[in-house]
Amino acid sequence: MSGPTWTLPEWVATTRWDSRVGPGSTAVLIGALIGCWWLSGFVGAVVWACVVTTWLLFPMIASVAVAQFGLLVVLPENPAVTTVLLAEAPVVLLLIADLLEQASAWLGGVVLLGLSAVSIGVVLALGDDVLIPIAIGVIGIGGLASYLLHRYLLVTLGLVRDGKNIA
Amino acid sequence: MEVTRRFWTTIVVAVLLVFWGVFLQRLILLIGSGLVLAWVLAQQYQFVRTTSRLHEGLRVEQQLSRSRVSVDEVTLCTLSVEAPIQHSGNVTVSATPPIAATSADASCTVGPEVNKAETTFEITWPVAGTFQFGQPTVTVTDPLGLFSQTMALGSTPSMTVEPRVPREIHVGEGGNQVAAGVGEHVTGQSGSGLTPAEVRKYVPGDSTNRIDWKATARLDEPHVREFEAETDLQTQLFVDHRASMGVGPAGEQKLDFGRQVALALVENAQELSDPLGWYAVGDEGITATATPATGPEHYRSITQQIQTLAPTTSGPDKTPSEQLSPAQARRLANQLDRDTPFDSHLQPFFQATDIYIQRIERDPLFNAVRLGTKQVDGTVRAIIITDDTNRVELREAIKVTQQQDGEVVVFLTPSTLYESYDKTDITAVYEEYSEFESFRRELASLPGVSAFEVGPRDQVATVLAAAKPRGKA
Repeated sequence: MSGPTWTLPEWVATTRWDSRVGPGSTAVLIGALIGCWWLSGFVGAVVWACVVTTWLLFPMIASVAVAQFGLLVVLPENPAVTTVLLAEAPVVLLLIADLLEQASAWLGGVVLLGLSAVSIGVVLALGDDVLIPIAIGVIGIGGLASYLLHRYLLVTLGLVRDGKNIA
Repeated sequence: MEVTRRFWTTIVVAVLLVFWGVFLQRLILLIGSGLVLAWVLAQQYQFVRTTSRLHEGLRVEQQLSRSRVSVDEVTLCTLSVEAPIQHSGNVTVSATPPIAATSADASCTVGPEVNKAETTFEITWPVAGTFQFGQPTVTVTDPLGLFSQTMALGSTPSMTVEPRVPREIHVGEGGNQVAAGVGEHVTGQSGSGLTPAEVRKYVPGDSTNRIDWKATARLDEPHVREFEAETDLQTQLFVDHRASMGVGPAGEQKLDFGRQVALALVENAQELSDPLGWYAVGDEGITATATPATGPEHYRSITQQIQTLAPTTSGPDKTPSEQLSPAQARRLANQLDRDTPFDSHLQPFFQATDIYIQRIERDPLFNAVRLGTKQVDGTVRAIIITDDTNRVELREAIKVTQQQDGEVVVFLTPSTLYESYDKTDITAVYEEYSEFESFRRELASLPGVSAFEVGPRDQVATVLAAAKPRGKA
């Protein structure tokens, strides 16, 4: 006898996708376990387990968000730049590994690496004093870049004219 | 580029990280937000690159099994897509048949694993004309379903859909095609016109404008030139569209051939500016009528009505049958032997001609011809387009016109030519055709009557060819 089947609400189902479990991502997560243990011992391992569980059950972005909150727990209040870079490295590598699971995505991986480096560098360089301008800047620059890519695609496909062709 | 709910979910995650970073005054959460946005941008860049490459390299084809069909025919269309490059997107290609075509939705998909796909589907063409396919709709989505882009790519074949009308029409007598145009008429009178007729001596009262100066100089006396007088002949067209005219394959029924003849006659009348009236005759009686008139609007109206004629349906008690005319009945009655009880009982039925008169008056074609010829003052030319099913009724209809000193032109669609599509015994078809030909000749021998057969040319040729080995052609 089968019981009632439970299904996700439609809006959840359309926004949910599975993380891509591949050899690259798995290797990065094993490396991250070592890093977490080195940073906070058993607490670090628990945080790592939470991240991995999220990674397996939810989209990759959810595990990145959980990892950021986990880093708040395992890192000291004012960590050194080197420590932050080391702690964020597995997250960046996880994102890149996920992207590289796609076919012909190495260029996308390069772009992601560059953008990640710029993001981390700018945030760390500006420091704690200008959090709100940094927050606005991150969202604004991200939105603008996304819009420009959108326009670029439309011009490439010939769906809109670029500035040079407008009389 | 369209973004999906998944995209917005990701953006919400990034914004929440920013919010908590500001709220908790922790830089690490802002770094997390930056990474999420960087990941989104990288995914978007990857999608833009994939879509651009697919736009350049994707091969999409729509191929039709035929480029020319008749109305309501079904054709096969093959939609194929090939991605010659390695890509990470999912590509769905949907065919875009013309609006006038009917088909199920057809699409095929290629992805990173499969770079070639093909599907074949059926298309029905209910409307005549030339139609062009739109370019297939190509929808590209990224592997995570964050973005999608729709574009039009590929070939646009065209299809010519021809109406189901007879193409090879035979109008003739005994299998011989009539070459002269039907509808021209000789008046036998002279007067003013365009066609020169004769030169005669000038008599007082003639207009000086009509003097032929060349003839006057040559003959040394004033002469005037006469021309063929142009007159208008009132024509009544009777088109039978009863159930018996619906025999034959779709688009090549008796009525389809009769319709083409009727349309040609209307066009001819318009060219000659002849006043034309018409009657459409269905199983229930007259279905359309117009009094004789001229004018483009009048001819156009008749043309449109003829084009929309369809065979009517006959009731169970209206199955046409060959019935005896009064002359035939009297002849048979005379042959009966009054000595036998059977004959003496049967004789009154043959002699009761009043029932025959009542029956004939109820026949729709007869009724229409009687009304139509009475409607016209003076000489009328009746053109009857019908088949050979109701022969007695046709004979009587012709008689009615003759009583008015009218001229009758009959276009007959021999049933055997239309029924013979399903028959394999061509000899039997020929026998039936010969019997029809006797009937046509009988009509044509009547004074003031011309009778022609109308049918598919290839069928006529086939039937006549069947008779040649036996020397009957």
